[in-house]
Amino acid sequence: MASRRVTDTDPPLAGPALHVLLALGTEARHGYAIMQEIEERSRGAIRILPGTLYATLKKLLADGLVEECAPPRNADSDDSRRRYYRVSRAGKAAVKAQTERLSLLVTLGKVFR
Amino acid sequence: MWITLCRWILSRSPSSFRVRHGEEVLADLTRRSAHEPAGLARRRWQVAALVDLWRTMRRERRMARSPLWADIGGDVRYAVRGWRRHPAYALTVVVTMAIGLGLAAAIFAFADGYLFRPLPFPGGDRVYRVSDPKAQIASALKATEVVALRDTELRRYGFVEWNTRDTGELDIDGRKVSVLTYEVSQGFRDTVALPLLAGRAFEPADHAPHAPRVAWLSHRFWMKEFGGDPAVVGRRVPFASLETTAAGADVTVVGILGPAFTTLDLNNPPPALVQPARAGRPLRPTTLSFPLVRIPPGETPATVEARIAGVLQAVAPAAEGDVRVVRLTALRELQTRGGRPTARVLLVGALLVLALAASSLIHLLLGRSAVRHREFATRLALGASRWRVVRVFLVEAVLLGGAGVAAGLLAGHALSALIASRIPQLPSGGRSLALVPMLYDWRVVTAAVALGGVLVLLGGLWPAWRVFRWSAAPGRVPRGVFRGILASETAMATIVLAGAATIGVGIFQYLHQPLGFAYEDRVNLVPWGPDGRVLRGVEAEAALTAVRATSGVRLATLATTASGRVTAAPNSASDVTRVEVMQMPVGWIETWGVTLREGRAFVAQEHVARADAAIVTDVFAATTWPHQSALGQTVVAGGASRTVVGVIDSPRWRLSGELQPTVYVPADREGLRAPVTAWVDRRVIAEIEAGQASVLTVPITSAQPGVTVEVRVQTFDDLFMRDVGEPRFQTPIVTAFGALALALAGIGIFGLVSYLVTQRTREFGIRVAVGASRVHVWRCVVGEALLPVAAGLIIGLAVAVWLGRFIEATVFGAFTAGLPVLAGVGGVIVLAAVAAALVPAGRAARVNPVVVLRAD
Repeated sequence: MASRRVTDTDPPLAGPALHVLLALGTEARHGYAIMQEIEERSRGAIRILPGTLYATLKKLLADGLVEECAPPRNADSDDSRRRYYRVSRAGKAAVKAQTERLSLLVTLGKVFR
Repeated sequence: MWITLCRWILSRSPSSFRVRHGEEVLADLTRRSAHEPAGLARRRWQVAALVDLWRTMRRERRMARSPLWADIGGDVRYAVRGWRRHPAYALTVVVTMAIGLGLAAAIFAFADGYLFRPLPFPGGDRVYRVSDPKAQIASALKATEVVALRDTELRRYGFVEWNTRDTGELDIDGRKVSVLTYEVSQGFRDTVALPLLAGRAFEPADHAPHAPRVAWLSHRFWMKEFGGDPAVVGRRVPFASLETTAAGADVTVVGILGPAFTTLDLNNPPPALVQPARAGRPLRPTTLSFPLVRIPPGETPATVEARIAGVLQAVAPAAEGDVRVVRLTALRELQTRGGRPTARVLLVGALLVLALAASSLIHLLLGRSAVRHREFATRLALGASRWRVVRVFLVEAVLLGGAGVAAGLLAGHALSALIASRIPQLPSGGRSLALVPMLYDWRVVTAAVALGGVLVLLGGLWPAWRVFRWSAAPGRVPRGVFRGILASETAMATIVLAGAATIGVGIFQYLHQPLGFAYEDRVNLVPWGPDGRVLRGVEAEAALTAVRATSGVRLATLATTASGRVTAAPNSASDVTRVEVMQMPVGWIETWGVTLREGRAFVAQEHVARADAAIVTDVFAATTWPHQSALGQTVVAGGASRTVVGVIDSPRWRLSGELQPTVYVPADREGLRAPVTAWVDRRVIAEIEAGQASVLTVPITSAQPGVTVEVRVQTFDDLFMRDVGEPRFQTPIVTAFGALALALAGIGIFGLVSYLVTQRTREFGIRVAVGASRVHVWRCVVGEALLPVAAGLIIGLAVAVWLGRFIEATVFGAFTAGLPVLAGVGGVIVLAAVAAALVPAGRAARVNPVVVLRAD
């Protein structure tokens, strides 16, 4: 049973948002790279299409969980014209809280075993 | 083509998304699409991306309007999906609200006119009826006195009249429609500004003796016979009545009265037509009048009464040593006092039924919240705020409530139309429900929406508050709260059921009183002479003789006629001077089957010889000679001293009111008057009902050519048409109240006990596991429910007894339900509670302890 009460300072993350943040990790990436990263990590099980991806990025930017940044030094010339995103400090905290919630969910799900 | 479509979808998204991410989206769509293998796989991917982009655009547009409204839109869609999975729950909530709110709205539409709504014309609160409390008949002024008052400076008050005039037939597009007409005196609308929906007021020229006939239509008649067609104003319609036959006239419709007005006459049905009274008509000295006056601002009823009385004393003085007295009664009081007791009782009953519906609604939502506790816990665990979870609940409650309110308004509209169609047009027991129309207007809709809003708040807030206070585990309803709700529901249902039973039993007793005479197999024959008057004297006797000679007629008699009052009764124990004396024709007692208690009936010779015999009613005998036999006693009437030869049961010709003491004397020939009442064989009744009334009318008309005969088989409703209307109107309404209260209480008890069983499932599992029998569990559940039911029953019965005195004002006669009825109500409530608790008790008794404990 959960002992910590969830508050509004740890906003819940919808599925695509969590995947985007996890795909960004500690690096800065552009949108297409985020899509590729998610697909590779899940071995094709999870595909986020461009419409959903950019809507999610828009919301994460608005919530302050992601911020725009300059392209990394090793970016291709093509890629350097694109926008790059990285996880903000608030985003890191949100991911941490969400993973804790999911572990609680796993505990609750035991009733079906 | 595909990318063009994507561009088009992007062009429809909000600029906040399109400007910022539009180029990236298009670039990634193109690049990613190229990675898919050409052919079907690429097409599939492109279609999926197109659909995803479309949904994203729709979501962004919703978000651009308002994030809050977008969220609430999601909650609405979620709620609708839930109802599709559990339609019975949503349907039960909507139907419960529709029943409670619909009934309350319909009854409010009835009660509003009597309790809250002002008169439907400006200044109605300053209009009064003038009466003379010392007058011989009905406290009325004489028409000649009213004319005299109009000739003085008091004419500024109005002294207008609203009187019945005539019955006749309108020819509406070939259909003959029977109508009752009223007339208004000149300048009526200056005093009583009756609302006109269309057309014009009567002008002075309309009142001229030979002016073309004009009329206003009543709203109800206009809607029913002319379909609400406004083009009827100005139309000429053929109209035949006793008055117009000789003149032969069409009547021109010049106006339509508004829907909020029906009539100002307490004693007769509302009119279909209202016409201007003809000026110059001769007035008989006995013609009575109830004029209406409007008191100007700055004057009071008391001062106006004194002025009118002063003028009357001058023009028509009272007997020596007395003075004329006048009373003004507010028109609103006259219009509403008859229906007010019924309106109050019905409104309280409807509000109690609504409270029961609200209670059931709370149980349903509470039960639903209990069933969904795991869902709410999951949402909280996933990070939803408590407000977010409560909002899901509130949105669902508001949506269901909105649907329930809409259904309630529709049900109320239909119910009010049904109730309005059953309102008796004749007064009952001196009370008329036709004076104030039922209007399902903005007032009723506003009240219904407000009540519905309160229902929704109550129904949604408390369960939502409970959800708000949960942690990850669901909370229980405290036992005290559970008992309180059950007791209050039982109390409300008991009050409504006891009230309904009291009124129902009272009406039953009222309609089944001993009448003192028989009406079955009796036929009333009214012979009208060529001059339009009912036959009297020798002609009446001839009609009687003709009927008696007809095959199938067992006995026949004529009507009794008034013959003054008793002058004195020696040895009497009470004042007899106001007792009426009636002339009794030959065979009256036998034909009507009146019970002769003592002595004998009049013999034929006593009718011929005008003998000084008298027959008295039991009421007269008991009050005049309480400790002696009435036989042989003397009464003085009509200047003659008469000996009492018989005592009969007082016949009850009206269901309401006290039985009046009466003295009967033998009728002589001059005292004979039609109608003829005949006691006939069943065969004759069957022939009349099959349309062959000539079996009785031909003997009369062949003996007296030119006479027409009306035939009516005497039925209970015919005899007491002025007494049965309101009781029969109340009966289905109170029956519905009682049935609904019982049903809603049953649903409420079922819901609450089910909720209790759900909460205590684990406990029952443990009890059974440690050896408790199923019967023990069953007793636990039913016993826990019955305790608060018993408490609620006691409270409800106590309140019902206290309210009984208000209910008695609506029950006809002086009947009270008493202990047997209340005991019956208690028994029904207990049985209903046990029946409602049986199913959840059975479920609790069947709990499998293994399943329950493993779920831990």
